[in-house]
Amino acid sequence: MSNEVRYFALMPAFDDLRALFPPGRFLESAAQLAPYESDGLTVFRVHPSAVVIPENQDEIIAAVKWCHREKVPFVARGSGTSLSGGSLPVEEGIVIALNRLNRVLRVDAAERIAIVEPGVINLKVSEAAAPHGLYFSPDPSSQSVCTIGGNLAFNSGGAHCLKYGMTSNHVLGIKVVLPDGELVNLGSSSLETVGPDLAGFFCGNEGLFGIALEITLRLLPKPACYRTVLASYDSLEKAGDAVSKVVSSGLLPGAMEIMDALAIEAAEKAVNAGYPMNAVAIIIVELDGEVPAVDAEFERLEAVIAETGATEVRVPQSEAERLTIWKGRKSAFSAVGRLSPDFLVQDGVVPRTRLGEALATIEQLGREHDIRVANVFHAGDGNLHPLILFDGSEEGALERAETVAGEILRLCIRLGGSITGEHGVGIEKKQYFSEMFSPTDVEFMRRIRDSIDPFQIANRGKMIPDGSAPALTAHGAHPLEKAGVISRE
Amino acid sequence: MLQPRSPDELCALVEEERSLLPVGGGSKPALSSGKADSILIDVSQLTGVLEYTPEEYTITAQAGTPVKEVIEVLHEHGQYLPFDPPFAEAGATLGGTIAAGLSGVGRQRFGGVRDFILGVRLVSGMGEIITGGGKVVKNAAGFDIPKLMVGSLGRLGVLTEVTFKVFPRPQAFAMVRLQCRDFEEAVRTLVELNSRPFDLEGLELVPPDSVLLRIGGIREAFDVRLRNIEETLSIPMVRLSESEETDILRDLRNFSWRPAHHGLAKVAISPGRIDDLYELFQSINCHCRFGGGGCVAWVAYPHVEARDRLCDGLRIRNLAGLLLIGENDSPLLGNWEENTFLKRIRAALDPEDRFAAW
Repeated sequence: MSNEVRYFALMPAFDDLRALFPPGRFLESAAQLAPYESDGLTVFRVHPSAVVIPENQDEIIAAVKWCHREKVPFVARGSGTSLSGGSLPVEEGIVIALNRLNRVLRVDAAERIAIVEPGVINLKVSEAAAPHGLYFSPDPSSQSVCTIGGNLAFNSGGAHCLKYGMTSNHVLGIKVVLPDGELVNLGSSSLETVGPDLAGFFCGNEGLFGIALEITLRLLPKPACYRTVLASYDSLEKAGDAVSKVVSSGLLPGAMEIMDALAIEAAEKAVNAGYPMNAVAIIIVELDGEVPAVDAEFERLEAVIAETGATEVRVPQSEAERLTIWKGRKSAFSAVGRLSPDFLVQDGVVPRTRLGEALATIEQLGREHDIRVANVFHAGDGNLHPLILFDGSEEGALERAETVAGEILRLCIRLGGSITGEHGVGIEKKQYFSEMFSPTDVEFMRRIRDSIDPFQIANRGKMIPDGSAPALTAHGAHPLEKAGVISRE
Repeated sequence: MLQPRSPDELCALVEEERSLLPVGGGSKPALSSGKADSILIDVSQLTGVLEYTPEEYTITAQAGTPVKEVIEVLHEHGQYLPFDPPFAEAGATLGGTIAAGLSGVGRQRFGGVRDFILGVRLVSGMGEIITGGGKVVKNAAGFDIPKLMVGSLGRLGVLTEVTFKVFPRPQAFAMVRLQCRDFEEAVRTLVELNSRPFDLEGLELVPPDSVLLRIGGIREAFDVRLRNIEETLSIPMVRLSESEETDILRDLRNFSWRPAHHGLAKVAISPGRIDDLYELFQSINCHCRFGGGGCVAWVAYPHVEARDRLCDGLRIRNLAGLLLIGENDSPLLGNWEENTFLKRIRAALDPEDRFAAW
């Protein structure tokens, strides 16, 4: 790795940007930039011209204004855990790294809100709220490292979205710097809105509308109790049917997950969750709420599960046992990743009643292209997470994996679902965006983007198809993934 | 009044006319009467449920479909719209509920209309039919056009089709009245209940000193659940009969507590503002209710002067309100303005000002 400064950063205009930051917070050598050239989607790499590391809102605004003046694209970045390449740098652009704006500014228990900076880690919000019996509901599996700014930009999800909604449902107010440096306040600290829900609209913009500087989050009272059941099946289809039966029973579980044999095996090896090793599929269903209500509902849930032909039903007898079940589930993906040097993961959504059909087709696609696919998914909301295993060193393997991934997205569209439930479109699913939306819809969104950011300097090249995309290369797992800190789901 | 029979007819109208204002059931007259030069588009012919598979927890209907009809269809399958759209009996439509951005008593449990809208179809100011969001309960693809439509008052586009997330309806409900000593204690109680892990289907403050709370779920658990709440609060609790509950809900959902000839406005607030606002409302002889655990104030004002003083009061307090019944130049009251972000959005959606101004 050389220390030479990249060409673009030698342009005289960069001196003005350099002057805004002390040397340690303006990175421009190749070695300094290397950690920023990729994110959670490791198959893409792009070298930025420079990385700036602001420590306050004024520095962010100054950097954005400089970008606007010089027409240099910028990518705002938190922890870089995006699975759709959302924080992939733009060639000839800069990265604005927001990790140092990591303060929870205020937790107001009476108002049930937290006001935070964009670089705050997701889990830190719940930690700050915990003394008041409150928590922040969205729980992407990377919640111990991913930031609220990134969650907001990509409308992140987690395991509890059916009942409690996605990130956008928990964002009430946002102070934003638009791509030209102008400041606007969207929403407020109220759960109610007057006039268009602009805070809601800003969420999920994938960085195209500017940068959130300060965010007001809605907190919820932590449920009084959780009751969980794990049931095993001798076919994936039966597991899917069991989920349908739970859904039709009138119960509203906080989480409902399915894992297939490959995922079970890997999770078991990784964390010893005590999963039944002979199962072809398992489901995990969890109820939450007030103790007397959950006790009564759990009886009903057990009765429903008893009718589903499960080969084994387990009810954790302690909080520790319950958490072990979840640990297995949450680590399943990085664990499956160990079975293969490289993998891709998709997060398409299908209508829940089409789950069986979707899984059968995915299996068939894997067979046709000689690619192993493991499945772990949020069954309650139809959010698939097929993990497509391949060896990048094998010629043509990446292309085959890409083909399978693409066909799975097309399947989701065909069944009336979505190409992404929580990872966003980013760079990865751009080519499928115009298959999900009509040319008029895409043009409409492009018009909105152009009206907000006429020079397309904010996260250029993401979400909206424009024909350009960096070349794919296989780079193996993300370092944090290898360390078991994050996982792709 | 223009009355398109299909989305295509609607597109043609939008391409021809200006200052258009879409109207649904007319249940919020301040939002559907427009100004002298407004051209009203009645979308009530765009009606009917289009897709409903109960197991999917979603329902898709044309925007002019009456809320009441949707509630009935869902009820038959043991489901409901948890955000509890108001004005159903007065003929509110799905599109009107979204465009007004209104949620009712039930918003306390899982959130408001913004938390249940999944997808929309709309006719933009360019006369195109646009699809935004999706028809599945989880979706992160594309800009969140559905949320942009919440509270858009018909100024950004005319909704033709909407998809909502729906939930299984609790087997039973129960309502209790907490009889507080005074207004201050009622506010404290509201705040306390908000931050406790009680899964309330409704939490309303009825001035001067009552707090209404509603729970739902398996009936057998109600006694213990209510006892837990009573013990936590040590405030006398009166369990209401089913018919009392029905009457109270009807009163709240249709705002029949509003005295005759009074205007009605919604104000987006947070619980910490209640004390101060209550003083304002009293000083100008307004009636009010605080709903959704204290995130919304509903205020009924007696005359134009009171309305103006209400607007001033909101502006000073940096709060925004929405006029639902009554007259004013704009239904947007107090401290609301079209900021740069919204201006740019509107420039993309309606560059030729086909729709009425705010």
